[in-house]
This record gives sequence, structure tokens and C-alpha cells, in this order.
Amino acid sequence: MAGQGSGLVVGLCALCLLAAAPARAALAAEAVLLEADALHAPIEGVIARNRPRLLRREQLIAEPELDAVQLSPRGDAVLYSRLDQGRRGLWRLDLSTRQQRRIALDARGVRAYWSGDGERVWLVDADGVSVLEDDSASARRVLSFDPDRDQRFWGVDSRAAEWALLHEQLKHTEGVTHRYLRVDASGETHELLRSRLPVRSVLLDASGVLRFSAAFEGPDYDTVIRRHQNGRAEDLLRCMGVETCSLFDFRDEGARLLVRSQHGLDREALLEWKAEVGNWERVHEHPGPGELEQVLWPQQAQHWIGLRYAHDEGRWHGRSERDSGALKTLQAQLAQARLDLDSSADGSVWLVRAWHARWREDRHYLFRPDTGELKSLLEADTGIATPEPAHLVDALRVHYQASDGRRLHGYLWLPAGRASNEAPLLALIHGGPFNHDRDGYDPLAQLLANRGIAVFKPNFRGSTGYGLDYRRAAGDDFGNGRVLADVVEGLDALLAAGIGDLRQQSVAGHSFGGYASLLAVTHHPGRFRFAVATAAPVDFGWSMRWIADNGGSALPENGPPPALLLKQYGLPALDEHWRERMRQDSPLEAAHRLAAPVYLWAGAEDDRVPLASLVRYSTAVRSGERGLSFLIDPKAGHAPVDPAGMQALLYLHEIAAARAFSTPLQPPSPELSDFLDRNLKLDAAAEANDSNR
Amino acid sequence: MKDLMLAELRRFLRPAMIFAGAHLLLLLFANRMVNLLQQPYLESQVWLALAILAGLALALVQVGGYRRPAAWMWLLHRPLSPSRIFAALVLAASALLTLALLLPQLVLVAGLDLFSSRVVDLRHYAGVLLLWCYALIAWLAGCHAVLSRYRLAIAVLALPLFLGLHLVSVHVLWIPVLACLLWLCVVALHSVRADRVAPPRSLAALMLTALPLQIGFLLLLFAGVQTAFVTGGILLGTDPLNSREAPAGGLIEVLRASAAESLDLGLAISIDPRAQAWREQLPLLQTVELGVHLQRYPRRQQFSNLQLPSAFADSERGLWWTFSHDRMRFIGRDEAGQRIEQEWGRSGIADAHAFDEVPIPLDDERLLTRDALLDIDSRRQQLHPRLQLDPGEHFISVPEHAFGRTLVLSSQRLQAFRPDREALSAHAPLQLEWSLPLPRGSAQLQSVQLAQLMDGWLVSFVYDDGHRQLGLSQISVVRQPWQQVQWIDSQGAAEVVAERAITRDYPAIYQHAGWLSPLLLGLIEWPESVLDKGLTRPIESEWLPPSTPLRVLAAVLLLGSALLAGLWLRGSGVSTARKRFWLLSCLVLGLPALLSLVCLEPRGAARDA
Repeated sequence: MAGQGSGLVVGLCALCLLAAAPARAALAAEAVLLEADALHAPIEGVIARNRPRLLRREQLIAEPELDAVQLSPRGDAVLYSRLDQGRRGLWRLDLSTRQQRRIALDARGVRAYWSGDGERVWLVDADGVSVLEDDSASARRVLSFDPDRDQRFWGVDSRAAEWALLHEQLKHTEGVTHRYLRVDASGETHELLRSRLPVRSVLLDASGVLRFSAAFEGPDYDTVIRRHQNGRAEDLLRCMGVETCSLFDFRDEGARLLVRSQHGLDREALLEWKAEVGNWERVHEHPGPGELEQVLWPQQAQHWIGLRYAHDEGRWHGRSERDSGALKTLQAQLAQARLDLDSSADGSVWLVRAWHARWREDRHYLFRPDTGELKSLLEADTGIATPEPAHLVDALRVHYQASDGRRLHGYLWLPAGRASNEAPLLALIHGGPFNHDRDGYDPLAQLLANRGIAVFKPNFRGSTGYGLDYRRAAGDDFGNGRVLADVVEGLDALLAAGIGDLRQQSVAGHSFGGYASLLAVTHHPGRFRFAVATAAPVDFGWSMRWIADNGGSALPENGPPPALLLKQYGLPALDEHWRERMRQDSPLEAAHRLAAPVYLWAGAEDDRVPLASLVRYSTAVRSGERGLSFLIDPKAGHAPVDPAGMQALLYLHEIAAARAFSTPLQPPSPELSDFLDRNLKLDAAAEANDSNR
Repeated sequence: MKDLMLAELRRFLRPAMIFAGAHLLLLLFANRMVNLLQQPYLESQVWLALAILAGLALALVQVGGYRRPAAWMWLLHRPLSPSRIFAALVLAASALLTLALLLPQLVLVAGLDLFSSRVVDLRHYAGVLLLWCYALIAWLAGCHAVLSRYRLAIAVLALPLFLGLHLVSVHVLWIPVLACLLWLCVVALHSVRADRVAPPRSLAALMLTALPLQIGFLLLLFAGVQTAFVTGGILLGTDPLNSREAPAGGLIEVLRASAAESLDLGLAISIDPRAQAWREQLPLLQTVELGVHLQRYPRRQQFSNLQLPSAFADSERGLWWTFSHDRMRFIGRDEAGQRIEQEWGRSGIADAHAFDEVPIPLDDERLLTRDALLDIDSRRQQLHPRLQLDPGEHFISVPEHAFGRTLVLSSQRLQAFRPDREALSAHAPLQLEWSLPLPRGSAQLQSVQLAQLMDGWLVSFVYDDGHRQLGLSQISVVRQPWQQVQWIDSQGAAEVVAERAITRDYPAIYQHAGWLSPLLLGLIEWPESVLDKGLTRPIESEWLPPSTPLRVLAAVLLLGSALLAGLWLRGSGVSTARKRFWLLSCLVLGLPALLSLVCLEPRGAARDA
């Protein structure tokens, strides 16, 4: 397909592999959508469909009925939670008798874990650990957490079937000692190891002895993989800074160790260490752009069965022909779906969680690889009508070349029944920034597509899932620089390829995505019809410094100190020069240049992006007489916490689009109207929108 | 005398016994519902009211029965001096009140002390005796009122209510109570005389009779003025409290405003170039208001508890810790009602060190003293100091958690503390983030409003008009309401960005009783300032009227009272010494003295004499 005006190679790639795309043939000054014929059919299919009926917001955001489905290691039972009349009960399904037994009436806040032998279930809540034995009717509390030692549940190691793991912190005058314990079903604890810096994960053997650990070490919090043998610890691998480095499993009495890591690689992969040779090898080479996402490796099997990589259309790669055959058989039966797989310990039964951009509820199946038999496992029966998949749209992969030649990725939701070049185009930018969008179900993208808008979700440089180089490529340039250019150039590429109406562009995003949206409307005046910025930092440097000073939910527990962690990610929060650079580029500083209506959302209890910063921005915008609407959810933190808040958030996007693009709008329910009356503090964007037309 | 006393006893023995039985049942029932001994003073007032009403009722029935001339003659015409007749009456009344009031209460307190794990302190025994004293005082006041020419003589009750009833240590309370008792004994004794209409003969008795009346009249007069003022305002539609919109620029407007609105009112007159942007942000920001809600601290062996908790729960162990004023430690009892052997001292359980003062358990596992905030660590049964004020400084509000900080309003400063993120303990001392001196001290501070902005804080201090209610007492001080707004930057540096005088909504004549009788007002407010009531803010009592017009009015009323007293006494046949006494009283004490003159020196009676 010829490019529209760019004169360069233009196309779209959703189903192709990276190999199909041209490499950086030339450093172009303009963004280029990379060609792939395979995508033409889906796009044409989307256009050919009739305009779907208007989907209701509450349908799109309803909480999934089934959740946390887990197969027992013996393959004879399944644990799952089911939403019923507002309560999320925990259930056990016996696969042989199909009998279902409720373990807990309301298991919100309770996590359940099979023991490695499937004999018991560990139940963990905020207060302690309980055990449900296979033959007992009710759970028995075996340990109450000691708050003085900040004691917490730390996981279950499938090899050490008798125990669960605990983490606690012993505080003393010289600092903190992290202590890791195993606890058995009688509540008896035994120390596994202690460390000055946190340990990230451990692997035990069947007798509960520590065999391998991954722990922070040194001033830069490098992760060191160690083998523990005969009371001695031997360093096997050191991952620097933010390189991923997590223990996966071991085989042959510890002679083979499997680790998921980016060490020595660009993209995370499964690495195997063999004691006899003492070196690390990658177990599978994958040419695609994505990092390792899932490994299927039954507990009792010597070798892995399948691997799945991010941004690879959910494709599973088998180790052997037999494995590949079984995986192909499975994927053929669920051709459209992305599959997460888990296996019984002997590999005879697989639990399949199938998900898709058009499915609000995940679907669960049991698959027997020997026979190729696939059986539906559980059926959701929600009171709220699930939107028909036919009324929803697919997420299409796109690849484009930025003006500096870097190949970038993203996803596209195209509205059905509308010519692609006539549809308004909205960039929905993900938060993080160290995160990524994928092709799963997204209620906001589906809502906007349903209203006739083409939604582009760019995985700009800095996004995760594409390797270290991709993530680091943004450097510290999060102002009016490279990251913003990636988003804008992605839109350019789509427009050049005939997707989206040049006159009807807009941006939206949450958290960092909201910030990027504000940057876009600020530094590209006249281009965007509106921006919806939710929980958006208004000065990125200030926000990072605020997080470094205040901590909060933005940071991982037991990780590196905030300032170090941010610096390792390329955000030197303590560097005044960087902060000054961010300030100069910030939406707050340039609020007077804003020319498009802005819709802000803030959570009053947000501990990552303080409400006060958004309020300050709103004042700066209003003083320049630009239109601004501002919704403050009084209960929300960094995101809405209840359905009313979630609906209001969706409505904010919907009404912004309706005002700018005259797209359809579902009138607010009386409850939503009441919520908006109380919490929509400003709504001047409507007038500004009118004047912009 | 003995016969008369016994006769009086026999006369009321059966009703007194029935009353005692009902009283005991009521006490036992109430004690099953609540812990009577730890009730706050507002809830305990029912028992005080019962004692006073019982005393008054007994006086009305017992002494009132002799009020008819024939009965009075029958009572007095026996071979006993009036003082011995009075003694017989008062002894009989004391015995009846002992039976009806004291005994049931003593039975309850002693029973709880001996047979339960409830905390029973010396103050509870003393409190029972003091209640009995109040009943007897009420009987004496009732006796005097019944025998007086005017029913208005019941105004002598103002004496015990305003001079003898204080939330102080029971050890101290004996002084005003016994003084009132003695005083009213003299007053009532001089009421028992053959000619009940004639005024007291001796000047001393006259003065002791007149002064409580004068206090009562002062309070009645001022209440009447206030009522007339409010009623008139309501009828005319000008009362500031009775209007939908509070008068602009007035104190009521600020009091009715939310924290954000108060800040906005303060910033409205600011000339700071940032003020407009701040005002635009305020409706959208989270704001907090701190009131001066901690009026007083509990004193050791206080007559009754303040409206503050005196105990805390250890829900994990099912224990309930109540503070003992005798032990100055917390005493524990379990769910079965059994006493815990160990006591909770200054640092926690089994700490032998008693508290220096009575602490206040707060509802979120914290303990507050005058100058320290401590965490209650129920698991370890320890106390951990979280913050300590400077010497001479004390809290005037319970520290409040907002904006991820602990906001502390003390007698000198407003402070913001943050948790120590690097601390090894969750109970580590809080870290001071910024501190702001109170611009005009704490005496008239009404409230503080805070808003956290992106790059700092806005803090507003609102000072009121001086009106202060302390328990039953109103303190007459007239001040100019005032507001100041300060900006605190991210480094903690403060800068005044707005100041304004707030309009008084009511005139000073409505608020300050000094124009009616400066000296009497001073006498009423005197105990408030000399007794140790644990007040968090000093009383700035001013008995002189606050403005020149009011002072002129006061002088006119003093002179006018003296003039009218002269007219009243002219030709009354009252002795010159008494005339001088009355004229001087009216000249010094004003209208209340004139009214007491009318009550105590009836013209007809004087002429008859």
C-alpha cells in the first residue's frame, strides 16, 4: 500500500514477524509505518463490518466473574474464585467428580496456593497463613504474622511441598536484617537465610533445604544468583541494576538451574546453568521483538514444553516436535485467543487460560496433550450481559519507524464499519513509563472504538517487553523530546497510511500516559482536538522527586532506595539539572501555550501524583482561559476503586470525544449524574471545544 | 431540739427510705449499662441534678410545711432558740439526705471497690460526699427561699452553682463547697426568725444573704438582656445567627465556612500576586481545619471525668485498661471482669513509674499528655514517645493525621510532623517538617485551616471575639476577631500573605456583663482564674467593660442604682448604718444590689417595723 504523501514505504504489520519488516534502511526524517500485507485483510474486515450497536459502559467494565483459576499439581482439582452477589467466593472443583465445594464465602483479600504435592492449599490473608488440608472441610490458621517483625507471606515453592515461605525484618540499631523462613502445616518455622539487603527469590529442594537464591547485593542493588551447598554459597550470576534476574527452577539435584534474565542479552530469556560446564546458555532462541513471557515446564519433567514471548500474538513455541504438535493442536482449537498455560506436575493435564481483545471474561479449559482433547472448564454466568465479541474489535499490531530510524511498536483498535481515514484518531498512551500495552481486553479502547474512534496505543521507546535496549533508548528524555516524538510520529505514520482523520486527532492516557498527553497538546498546538489526562504528573521532574522523597505505592516493596531505583531507570530525580530540564518542558510551565480543551482526572487519595499538582495545573490553564474539565474522584487513589469511579473515568473520555468529534454518547445514569454533579469540579472544556471548531 | 429533730426525721423517714431504695435500684441499673464511675461530667450531671433537686424538694416540703403563719408560730413558739430550731431542721434534713442519697451511692462505690475489678479511686468516695454537700446546700438555699418574702430569693442557688461547682481536684473542691455550705448555713439560719418578712438584722447576715442574691440577679439580668437582644433581632430579622447568609466580613461567616472557604475569605484581600491563583485552587484542594477542641486536661482526683476517654482497649488480649487517679497508672481487667495483676505505668506494663499527670487515651492507639504524644503498642504492652513538645508548651488540640502528616496545634505553634521513613520502628519519633508560631498566641485562637499545594502550604489562623464557654461558665472577654494567612514554601519558610480584621457580629453589650456590675462579674470569674482546672489556654478575664461607652453606661447604672436605693430607703425607717450599707452596695455593685435591696428591705415591712 502506497504511503499517503510520505513517499516512503508505508504499511501496517499486525500478524507479521519482525523478520518481515525492513531494518533501518535509512534514517528518515519522518515516521514510517512498516509494511506487511497480512494486515490488510483484518483492516478491510473491520471496515466491512456494520457499525456495531452502542455498548454500555457498565458492560465493558464489569468485574470478571471467574478469577484466580489454578490447577492442582496432581491435575485432579481446580481452585478458583467466583463473583456472586458482590462476594468473591473461593471454590474447589474436583475434576473427576465435577463436585464443587466452597472454601471461603468471601475471599477478597485472600490468596490461595496449591502445595507442590497438591495435598493442601495455603490460604494467605493480611493477618496470617492458614492451611486447608485435602480431606478437611475448613481451613486452619497455622500462623499469625508478627507485625513487630513486619512478617509477610513470601510464596510457595512447588518442590518443597511441605512448606510455605515467610519474610520478616529484624530491626536493630545497625539497620535491618531480612530473614526468610519456611513454615510447615503445623505452624513451625525454620530459618532459611538472613541478609542485610532483601532477597528476591529462593529455590528449595524437596526436603526444604535452600538450594539457590537471588538476592540484592552492593550499593547498586545488583541481583546475585547463588547456589547454596554444604553450608556454602557460591555466586553463579550477577545481574546489574535493573536487569531482570529471577530464579525459575532447577533439575538434576541442582546440577541444572533455570533463570529468567536479561543478563548478557537484550531481551529476557530462559537461561540454563549446568554445573558440569559452569556456563549459562539460552534454552531457546526467539527472533521476535518480545521478551520471554511464559514458560510451560511441568514440575516432574526434565525439559520445558513450551515458551511464549511478548508481542508475538500469543504464539507458543514447543521444545520438541511432540510438544510443538500438542501446542499446535491446542492453538488450532482456540485460534483467535492468547493462551496462558499451566500444567499438572506430570504434564498430563494443562490448564488453559484463553484471553482475547474481544473477550471481557477470560475462558478456561483443560487440555490433555496426549489426546489433544480440550474441555471447557468453567462458565461465567454474570448478571451483567457480557458484550458480544462481535460488537468488539481486535487489537492489531503495528510497527513503525521513528524519524531517527528506530523501529517502534504499538497496537491499533479500529472502529468497525467506518472508513479508516474518516475515523477520529486517538493516541491512548500507557503509564509507567516503564510498562507496555498489549493486545488483551481493554474496556477504554473498546469503548472508544465502539464510538467510532481509531485508538492507537504506542509502545514508545522506554516501554518494557521489547528488551533492555528498547527500554533504555529513551535515556532520560521524557520531556518535549524523544518519547513524545515517538507518540506523535506513530500518529503521523498511521495518518500517512490512511488511518485516522488528520483533522480529528486527540490524546489520552493515565499516569505517565496522561503526562505525555498533556505534553502532546502543549507542544503540538493546533494538532489535537483535546487531551484526557488522568492521574497525570504535570511536571515529571517534580513528580519523580516527590516519589523519591515520599515513597508510596509507586515503588516496589523491598526494592532499592527510591532515588537509586529511579536513577537506574533513567530518571535522575535528585539531579537538579534534569529536573530543571523537565520543568522547562513541563505542561505546567507551558500551560499558557495550551490551545486545546483538556479533561483532567485525579484521585483525591493518590500517593503517586498528588492532587495538589493537578489542581495547580488546572489553575495555570484556567488563567490562560483555556477550556478545562476536572473530575476529582474523592475515593480514588492512583486509579478508581469502585464501579462508579470507573464509569465516570470512561465517561470523561466518552464525552470528550463526543464534544470534539460528535461521536455517540451514552447518557449518564442517574447514579453517574449524581457522581458527576458532586465530583466534576470544572467543566469548561465544552465551551472551549465549541470555540475550537 | 432532739425531739424536734426526731420528729422531723419520723415525718420523712418512710419517703426517704422509699427514695433510698429507688435510688439504689436506679444506680445498680445504670451501673449495669455504663461504668458510672468513669462517666464524663455531662453524663454525670444527672446525679448532681438529682442531689440538688432532692435537697430543694426536701426543703420545699419540710420547711414549706411551716410557711403558713399558724404553722410558723407553732414551730417557733417552743422553748428553743430559732438557731436550735434551725439546727434541728438542718440535722434532720442532713440525716434524711444521708439516707436517701449518700448511703445508696456509698453502697454502690464501696461495693464496686470491694467486689468488682472496676477502678475506684479516692475521688469517687469524695465525690459521693460532695454530692451530699450539694444536696444540703440546695436544701439550705431552698430553706432560705421558702422562708423569704420573695420567691426570687431562690437566686441564692447561684452561689453554689457559680462559686462552689468546679471540675477540679476533689481535694481543692472541698474549699469552695464548704465555704458555700457555711455561707448558706448563715443565710438560712437568719431566715429562721419570728418575723420572716423582716430583713436580716445584723449587717453581716444581711451582706451574706444579699451577695448570693446579687450574683443571681446579675446572671438573670444578663440572661434577660441577651434573650431580649436575640429575640428582638429575630423579630426584626437582624440577628446574624438567624439569617441564611451570615453578615459579610463577620465572624459567623468564617465559623460557618469550610476550611477552603475560610482560606479564601482570608486571601480575598491579599495583595500577594499569587493570591488569585491560590484562591482558584482552593475549591479543588483537600483542606483541613484544626479547632481548639482540647479545652482542658484532666487533673488528678478530678471531681468528674472530662468529655475525654479515660481507658483504652487491648482487643488482641481482650483487656480493658482504665486509668486510676490513686495509682496514676492504668489498671487492667479482662473480658471476664477479672483484675489484671500488672499495672500499666509510664513506659508500659509492669513499669513501676507512675504517670506525672492524667493521660488521655485517644481512639487510634495513642496516648496524649500535656506535652507528649505516645503510641500504645498493645502487642508489646509498651508506650513509645512519638513527639515531645518543648518545655512550657502544651497541646491545645488533639494531634490530627492529614496529608500524610501529623498536624500538631500547641499553645505556641502549629507544627507538621512526618513519619521517619528510614526508622527501624513503626513507633519511631516523628520528624518535624515545619513549624509556625501562633501569630497572636493561643488565648483567642478559634481555628486553623490548612491546604497543601504543589509547592507549599497555605495556613490560616482565625482568632475569635473572645467569647468562651467553659463548662457552665461563660468568660466575658471582648476581642477583635482577626485572621492571618501565611504561605509556607517547600523549604518550610513562612511568609504572611494576608491579614484582616473580622467584624464582630454582636455588640459588646451582648457579650460582656461587666456593664451591669463590674465588681460582681469579677467575683464570679475569680474562681475560674485561681482554681487549677487544667485549662489549655489561659483565661483573660476582664471585669471592666471593654469600651468607653460601656464604661459610661456602667457608671450611670451604678449611680442610678444608688440613687434609686436612696429613694427606696427614704422614709423606710431603716437604720442609718443599714442605709449606708445599701447605698454603698448599690454604688459599688449596681443594679443587682438594688434588686436585692428590694427583696430584702421591703418598704412595707420596714414601715411596719
